[in-house]
Amino acid sequence: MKIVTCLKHVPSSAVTPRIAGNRTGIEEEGLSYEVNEPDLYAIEEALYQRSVHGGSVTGITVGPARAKEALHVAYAKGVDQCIHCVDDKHRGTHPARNVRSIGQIVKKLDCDLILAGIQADDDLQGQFGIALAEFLALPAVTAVTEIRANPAQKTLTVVRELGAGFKEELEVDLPCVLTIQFGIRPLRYTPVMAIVRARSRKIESIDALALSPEGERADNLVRVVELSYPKDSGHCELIDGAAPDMARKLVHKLVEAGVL
Amino acid sequence: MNDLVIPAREVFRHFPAALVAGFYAVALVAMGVFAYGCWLRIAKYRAGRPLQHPLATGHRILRSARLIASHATLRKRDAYAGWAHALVFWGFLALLAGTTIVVVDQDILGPLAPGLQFWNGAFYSWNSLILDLMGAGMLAGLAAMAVRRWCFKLPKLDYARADGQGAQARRLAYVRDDWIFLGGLLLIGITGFLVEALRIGADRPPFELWSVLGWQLANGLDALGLSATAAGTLHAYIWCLHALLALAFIAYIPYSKAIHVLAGMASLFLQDPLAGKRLAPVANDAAAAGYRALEDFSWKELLALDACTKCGRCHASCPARAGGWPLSPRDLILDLREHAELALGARSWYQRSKARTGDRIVAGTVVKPGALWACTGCLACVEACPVAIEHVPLIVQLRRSLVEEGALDSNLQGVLEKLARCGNSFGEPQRSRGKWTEGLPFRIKDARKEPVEFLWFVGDYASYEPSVQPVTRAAARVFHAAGLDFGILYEAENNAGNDIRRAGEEGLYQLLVEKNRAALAGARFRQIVTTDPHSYSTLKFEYPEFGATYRVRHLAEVIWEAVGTGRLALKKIPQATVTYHDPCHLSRYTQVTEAPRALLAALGLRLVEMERNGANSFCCGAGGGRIWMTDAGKAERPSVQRIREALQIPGLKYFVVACPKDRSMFRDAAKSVAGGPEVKDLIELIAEALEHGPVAAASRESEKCA
Repeated sequence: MKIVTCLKHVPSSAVTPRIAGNRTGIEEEGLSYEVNEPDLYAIEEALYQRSVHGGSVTGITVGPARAKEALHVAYAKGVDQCIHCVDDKHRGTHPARNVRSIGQIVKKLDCDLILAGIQADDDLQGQFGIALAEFLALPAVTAVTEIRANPAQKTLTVVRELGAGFKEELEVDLPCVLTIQFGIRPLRYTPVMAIVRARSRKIESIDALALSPEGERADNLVRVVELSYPKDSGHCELIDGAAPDMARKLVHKLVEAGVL
Repeated sequence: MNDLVIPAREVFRHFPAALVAGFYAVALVAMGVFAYGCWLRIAKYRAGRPLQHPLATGHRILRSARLIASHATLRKRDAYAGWAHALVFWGFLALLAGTTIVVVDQDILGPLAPGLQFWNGAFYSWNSLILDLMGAGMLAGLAAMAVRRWCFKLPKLDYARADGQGAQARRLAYVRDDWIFLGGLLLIGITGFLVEALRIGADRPPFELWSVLGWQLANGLDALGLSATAAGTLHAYIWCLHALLALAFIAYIPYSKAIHVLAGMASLFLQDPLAGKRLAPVANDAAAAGYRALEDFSWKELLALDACTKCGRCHASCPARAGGWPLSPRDLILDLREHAELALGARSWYQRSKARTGDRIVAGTVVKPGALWACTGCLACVEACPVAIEHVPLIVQLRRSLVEEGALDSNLQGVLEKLARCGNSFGEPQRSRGKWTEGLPFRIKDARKEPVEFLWFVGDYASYEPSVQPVTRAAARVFHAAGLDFGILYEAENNAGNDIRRAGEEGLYQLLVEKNRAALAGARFRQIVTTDPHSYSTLKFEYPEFGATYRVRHLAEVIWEAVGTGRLALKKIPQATVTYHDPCHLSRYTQVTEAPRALLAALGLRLVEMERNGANSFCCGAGGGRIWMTDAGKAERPSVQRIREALQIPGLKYFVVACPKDRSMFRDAAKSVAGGPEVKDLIELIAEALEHGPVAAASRESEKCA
């Protein structure tokens, strides 16, 4: 099976980002970046499917120069080939352009299965996989927790999560797009040495502007108006004293606040 | 016959020429079988890769010759076996020398230069006396060994596998080999004396009084009613029997346990004194890290596998085995050896040609991951081994290949990811590394900004673990009261990497070393002091290879030096019976055992040692990354076993530790044992006892003005 897995290079949660001057984005300076965690599960699943059915796994990302680090991790995990769509203008944050770029690359790859994480940790939109499927006119299934492939018949049976512990099982024709839920299988450890070795592997580079020139309509029907910090509207009062007194005071406060 | 009979003897006494020829023919065949067996072994070793460093041969010859001659490694903590083995060893060597003398005199000088023959006269007499005594010594040693195996029921000689994986049959083959070896040598010795007694009984040459035992045995045979002529006839038969046994034994050597004679000496010669303390880095051009298959092993390691005699010292001292994990260092070596036999060496040419290449992979298959991950890296096995087998480096190399595959305990995986992100195993932000200093009545210098004498490398646990932070603050107060000019790196310090390296994540280790090296290079200080033994040993032994060479000492050494030179006065604290648990990384790794004990004595405490102390200390079970792993052993935890060992001391008040991991492990263990002792860190005791000497007061004063 020829599998393509899409990755996104997102800011790590260790550092709180600052809002950029234009108030529609964040400052990249001072942030550390990592591979979007759901995309790691997608890679893990792709590698598993390869170990069962043979074939190859290709990793693709859209982003600025730093995004090649995400592909280093992909190589370290065992992906066969990586493609970096270099996007210096929008830096991989423009959803419609991401879909268009990756879509055009994937069209030429003739693959059986396209995987992506269920959502990106930076914008939590969850729309990439669905929009990509729409662009490619392929079926899409989201929140997949299990894949049983039948490459010979060109179909898959997938299990997806519905919430409250419920699941549903679907049969899908190949090729298709699946977005992968957390925990589909345990993430293996990626040794630092493997990542160091991966840095010397060749990554195919494609310019995003060449794929979809700026003149084309952006196709983004959603526009960020403004980003702002949450307002501190809290008030914290410490209740002191012996336990019975504290309990009495707390009940009194809760009644005052209308909670009890 | 003239009165002066020159002491000598005819070797083939009254043998027909055909028999003599037959003897030489059999000897030749025996030598051939021996040589073939040796060749098979050497071919097996040659399948391994070359060594990374040159050998420095001259120094090694002296060192290993001294070790072997003194039997120091064998006599350590087992005087009975040590002396019995020494008797066998020296006895056998003497007899071998004796045989060589005869060969040189009779087979070489005889036909080529009869005038140079020396095996006669006074030389002959002394030779006979010495060989009689040494031969008897050998027999006595062998008898002592037989008694030890048969009667003593030693746990370390129990060959049952630690991982409970049946295969008793294989172990019986080992027992058989043991008894063939022991019994064979005994028979050879006994028949040898019998041959001598028969010859002396038959001819009674007067000079044979020098063969003291032979003479007495001949008297004994006489008393039993054996006539001189009968003795003479019997002599030839027993001579042939003795010769056959001896030649068969020689031929048997490379196919049996007896190979340890050669392999053991070679292993001692090749010993790395820093084995386990300074691990080998991964080569920059290596395709993969660690050992996956047998050909990744060096020829030295393959040779060392053959040196093992199943003495069981490593097995008995291993904390993982004691805690019921499926690891026994002995089983590890034997499994690898058996596999190497199958895949590389084989006992016959036929088997060699049939061996399949794919069989050579060992990591995770021949040696199970459960066994590999159970190791705490305490070095008890390496320290105990009389033939210098280096188990821990092998385990780390095998772990490295498991890490390559990404097959790790999930908790360990999480910790390694935290370390990669934040430089500490707690996943806490780097910037809060120095937060423990809040609440101290003085400011600790930032070594990145001001020069200090002592750079205190604090360590992860001491910085971040809430239950250990009070001890860290106590250590700071000790530094301060002792008037030492010290500073810390604050948030520039990262985990020193000791346990990460031993867990097999070499890449992450090198990343941490690089960060620390840069931080140290940017600070100004004269020497490094640590309160964390794990940091101590890696900073001392392993950092120099990465370009960070500094003088490193433990706080106990520095304080003891201050006390010893009168710079610091220690008040005596209330008398109490205490015991001291040597941390693995302070005893076996860095040999700092005196300073802590001297300090306890200076504090006025009554130290009673546990049975396993000093270099024989029993690991708490937290090293080698184990503190981050979740699998449990089938028996009681090593830390609990250690507390029970301590409780055998009547009236014990304090269980003294000198390592933050020990402190965590033993405080936890002491809670599980009824009447568990109070666990105190050495630093806490010193902090309680500090007195303000004039020197200390003066430097504190100057510090305030700085």
